[in-house]
Amino acid sequence: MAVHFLKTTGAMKDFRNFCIIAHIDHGKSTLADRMLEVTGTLDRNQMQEQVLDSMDLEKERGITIKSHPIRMNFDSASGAKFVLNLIDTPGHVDFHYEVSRSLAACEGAILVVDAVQGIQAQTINNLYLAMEHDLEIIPVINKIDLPAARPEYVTEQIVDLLGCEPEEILHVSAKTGEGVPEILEAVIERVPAPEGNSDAPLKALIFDSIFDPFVGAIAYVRIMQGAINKGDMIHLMQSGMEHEANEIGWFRLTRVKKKILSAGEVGYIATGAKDVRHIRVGDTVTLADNKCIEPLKGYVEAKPMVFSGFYPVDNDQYNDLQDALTKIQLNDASLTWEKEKSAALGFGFRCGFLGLLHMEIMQERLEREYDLNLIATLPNVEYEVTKKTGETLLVENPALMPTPSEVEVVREPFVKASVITPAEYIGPVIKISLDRRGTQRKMEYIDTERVNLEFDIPLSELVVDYYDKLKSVTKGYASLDYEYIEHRAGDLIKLDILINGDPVDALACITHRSSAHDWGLELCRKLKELIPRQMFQVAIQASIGSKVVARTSVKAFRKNVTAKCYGGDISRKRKLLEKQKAGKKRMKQIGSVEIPQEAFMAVLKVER
Amino acid sequence: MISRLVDKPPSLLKRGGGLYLHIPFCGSICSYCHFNRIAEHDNNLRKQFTESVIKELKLRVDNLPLSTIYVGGGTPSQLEPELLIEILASVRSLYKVIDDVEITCEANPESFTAELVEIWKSAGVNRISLGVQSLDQGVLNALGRQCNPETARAALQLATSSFSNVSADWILAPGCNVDQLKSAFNEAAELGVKHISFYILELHDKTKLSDRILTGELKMMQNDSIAELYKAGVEILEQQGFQQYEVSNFAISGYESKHNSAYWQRVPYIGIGPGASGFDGERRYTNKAGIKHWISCIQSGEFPEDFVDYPCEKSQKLEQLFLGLRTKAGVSLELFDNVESLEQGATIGLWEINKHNLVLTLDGMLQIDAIEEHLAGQLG
Repeated sequence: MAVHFLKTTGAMKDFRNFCIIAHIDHGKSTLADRMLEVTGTLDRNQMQEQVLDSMDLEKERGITIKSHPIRMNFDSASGAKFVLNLIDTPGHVDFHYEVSRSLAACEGAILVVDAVQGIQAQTINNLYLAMEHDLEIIPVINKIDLPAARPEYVTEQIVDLLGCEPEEILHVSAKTGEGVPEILEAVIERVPAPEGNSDAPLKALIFDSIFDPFVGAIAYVRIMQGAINKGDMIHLMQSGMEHEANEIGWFRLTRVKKKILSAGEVGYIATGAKDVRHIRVGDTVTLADNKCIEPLKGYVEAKPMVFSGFYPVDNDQYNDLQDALTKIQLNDASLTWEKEKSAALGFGFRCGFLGLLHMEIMQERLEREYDLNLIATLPNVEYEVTKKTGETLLVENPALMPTPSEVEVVREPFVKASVITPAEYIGPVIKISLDRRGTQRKMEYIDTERVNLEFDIPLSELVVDYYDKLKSVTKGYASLDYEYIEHRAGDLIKLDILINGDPVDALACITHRSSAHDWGLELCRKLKELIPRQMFQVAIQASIGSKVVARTSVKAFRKNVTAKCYGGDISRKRKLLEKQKAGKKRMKQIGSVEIPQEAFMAVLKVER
Repeated sequence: MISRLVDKPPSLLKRGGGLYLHIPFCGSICSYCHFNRIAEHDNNLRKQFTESVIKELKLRVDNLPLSTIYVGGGTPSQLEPELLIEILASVRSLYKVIDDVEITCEANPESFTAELVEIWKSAGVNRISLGVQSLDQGVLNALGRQCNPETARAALQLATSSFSNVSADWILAPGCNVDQLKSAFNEAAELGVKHISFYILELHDKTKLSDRILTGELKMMQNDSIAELYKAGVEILEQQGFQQYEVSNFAISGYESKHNSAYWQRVPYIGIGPGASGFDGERRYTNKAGIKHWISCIQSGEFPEDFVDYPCEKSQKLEQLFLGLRTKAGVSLELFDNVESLEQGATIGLWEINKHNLVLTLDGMLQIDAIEEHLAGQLG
């Protein structure tokens, strides 16, 4: 049936599917912009910076959060016409899995390296990822227009890394457009055309999904074999769900409706599903009445790694927060949340994220797009706790950690962290990593100036302040990437913080026994700084079980008195109090103590 | 014009109240003062001022009885006594004044003379509030007062021998110590002073004193020693028979300031003069502070108000709270959402809770600003 229409979509040999991989800020999105211009995909009026990044946050932070495929027509210098599918992939380690699925949809990758900075941690990790998928790599040195550019040096680095010839490396300025057509020619020459039997049963890879309020959940797909027609009933092999393909097509800046997509093509399928969680990244699409035998490899269920309690500062915003999370989740299957109650903060949600950046983005979106005022508790990881009874549970909220006497063993997630740093900072980088319970696994000179260090390190240590610390000890020159390895047992305990004798659940954290004491001291000190003087003395204590390991206090005001208040002072005084009352909206009342929002993040600022 | 119609000033006092008259003239400017006052003025300006005061009295005329009149400043004694007489005569002709009205006049020791006393008495002034501040030369110097201890003593003597109701202002400032306060309050009591306002010095931006402290020329006391001195001062005053009835006010029983007490009870009052404030029970206003602006408004027949507000029900409760807390009568428990939540403060001695009211202790008074803020969050 579908076979009849095949020829109308062009010959597979004229297709090229590729992506761009790079370290953050190396110019991936700008290069994509230039390609759209050179191929005439967008005219000048449609053009704007980072055109594929549609969220404000993506533009502001200069990062890509969602995948943005786009189809371009390119007339090669040889006169042949080609169809190029560019898949702009997310550029951050939090979105590792999404990146891997996008790569699986391509045959080639353009590896962009900054002519000034050279190879960075993400360059290497993304490169390895691309190699795992057998992609043809086209190395490109970007920003050659910068005065500080060192193309020879970076060429050497790339040659060492890839084992390629220096002549294979293209030089480009995505900013000026110089060298961009040459890259497109290289894509045609070097990247193989897709393969796949159009007559076989449909097999398509979902590499991303979005939610559109008008047409429901939309799968971004690469057709690996077979073809799909509008109106076909599709079957999702991992989730087992079936939906009608209400609309199919491919991508320009917006979606372009088509009647058929066939092997080798990149496009979308609008399913009418109410929720992107039905359309999971990595799932295999086939036809309900003509199923393929095996799903594609590499499917993993998105699993949150970092957790935090999100609470509205003002309890009246609880329902608004729930609505906002529901809406965001429609479009972000990797966000998880469940209701949670804190004695200190009231009702809120324990949210799970792919990583810290993902968490920050969510918090920022909730506050900006939904106008919510939030308290986010210290990010933590998921612990596997085996109790003495033999029962094993997953603990995502430190406050829910069983007491030490009930616990047999606690396991925490470890990651492999790769740090690329100028050689002069090796010492400090190793020190901060060992201080955070890291174990050094590898040290490798990339060239004479740069070293790749690898550590096994608890994710919990990494999420707290490792990245900030790393940046600070290397003056900003180091880069970091990490990947989950496994859960490992450790001597982990819950550190409670007590305010005026009452434990504040939202301030509890899980830490290694060896650092619990110092951490308790520091945390108390930090809280003392952050909690303003009040009418009562405020006692701050840190304890493990019933044992107090640190204590301090915020003394009450000794003198805080307006001496004169007569007829002319009343309006002013009242307005001052009204203003102070409004200012308190950012404070949480715990017992009789007022605690500012920042205090709940204080642990992040603890110096170690 | 329209805004004047909409914003019509008080349909005034409903149950009798006070009148505050602001005399903005001073002989010199004290180093700590941030009030509305000017040191450069001539007879011409003072006459114009008097004329305008009388016009404002007419503008704000009301048929409710006045039970207190308070002439403050500035330095009222800088105004020619005959001009003050003229003003008080106008008050009496325009307003109903009750028979045992309290009429207070503020004065500085250095301009308080026997001649002034005679004229003020004849004008009906029956209470003097004397800005003594201290009987210590060092403290007076630090404050930039034009007065020395001898002048202050002489003025106190003159006041107490001429008036039965004399109040004196005292200040807790750098250079004060317990012995000094003891002998000073003792002396005041023996002279027959009936009322003491004992203020902790407040530093205000852009005063000479705060500049001197900022440059390190003068050292401000530590909060702990201020708190100790204040408590010692209160104890000495009470030994001399001056009972505390407000944060900074102490009186021999029966000599509490009726006028000031009315402020704390939210009784209505009319304010006359540049920068003066008034309240009719619903509406609060403050006059333009600049004397020229104030005069020109009045001369063109307009209300010389700088700003006006109508506290809503919540704001009224807030006023009741922070005004009540200042006094020994305290705040009605009815204001609060949940009386149980008030227990902690009582336990640690910041306040006491009696049958109907919450009353601050001395320790509480010292922390009144923090307590107001805290309790403001617990209003019903």
